[in-house]
Amino acid sequence: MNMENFYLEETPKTPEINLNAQTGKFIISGRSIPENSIEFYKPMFDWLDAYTKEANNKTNVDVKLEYFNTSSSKCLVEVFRRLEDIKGKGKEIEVNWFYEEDDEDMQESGEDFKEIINLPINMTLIEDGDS
Amino acid sequence: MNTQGYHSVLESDEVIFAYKGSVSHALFDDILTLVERKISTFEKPKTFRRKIHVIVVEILQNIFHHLDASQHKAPNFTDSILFILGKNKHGYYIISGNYVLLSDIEVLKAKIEWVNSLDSAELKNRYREILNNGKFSDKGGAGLGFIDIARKSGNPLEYDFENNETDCSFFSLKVKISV
Repeated sequence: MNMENFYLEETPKTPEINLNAQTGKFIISGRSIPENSIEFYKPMFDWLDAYTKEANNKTNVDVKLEYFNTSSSKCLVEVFRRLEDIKGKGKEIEVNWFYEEDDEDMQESGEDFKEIINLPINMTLIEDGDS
Repeated sequence: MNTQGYHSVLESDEVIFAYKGSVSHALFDDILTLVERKISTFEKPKTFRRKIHVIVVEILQNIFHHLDASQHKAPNFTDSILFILGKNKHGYYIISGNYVLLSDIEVLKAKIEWVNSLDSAELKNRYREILNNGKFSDKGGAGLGFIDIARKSGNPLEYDFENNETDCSFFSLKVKISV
């Protein structure tokens, strides 16, 4: 059974979300500051619920967020919980949490998730890009 | 802080941006864009600009959630939002203000006092606990706003309730962000 991939374009307040069911490569990048985070993330939750049933043997997740509001952080937990379920079915999950040099806030956020989420989260320092 | 207080703030410090008036989702976006543009002209590191920006987001969304939740349609609730971004020798500060119901004062006070009583390690731990509890507020808020603001700003939250109305109070919040 072939699942459709999931794609949302980046906007000034919401991230690009690119979930490829065939390759198991997931990317979330940009800013996440929607006023209604649950409404924004609901389609992604639904897609992940379907993916859980036919997940790749390995799913690689890149989180490259500039910053996010607190309601988005709760939604990210919901995303990670679904990935934990996939891992619980014996599949491999790898999360790469990207943060820029000197960005203590995003580094700490990554550490927060590492602490409460039962997944391998690699803290990945990225070179300073354009501003 | 009374109006005289706000006036002296405007006089004594470098106010970068100030707004007082009605609030809407479009205005929210305009304030964010303006703040971002203003801050970028000060050529602070990108990560510092992001810190200010995300704190502003949290403050404004807090106000929105509060207005939505209060169900109070009195004109002064939606027509009297205050937002000031300023800079002085210590760093940046953000003052926000909005009307709240008298019945909400104690809850707000208790929450801010609780956040102010926590040191940075405790803020981190409480943040993680609430992040982990899987609950959202009725309005989809995370219940993390004040903790996040205190944690990112690195300073206690200053607040005031101005009680000169019979059914509501003007709640002001000052967040200082050290450079």
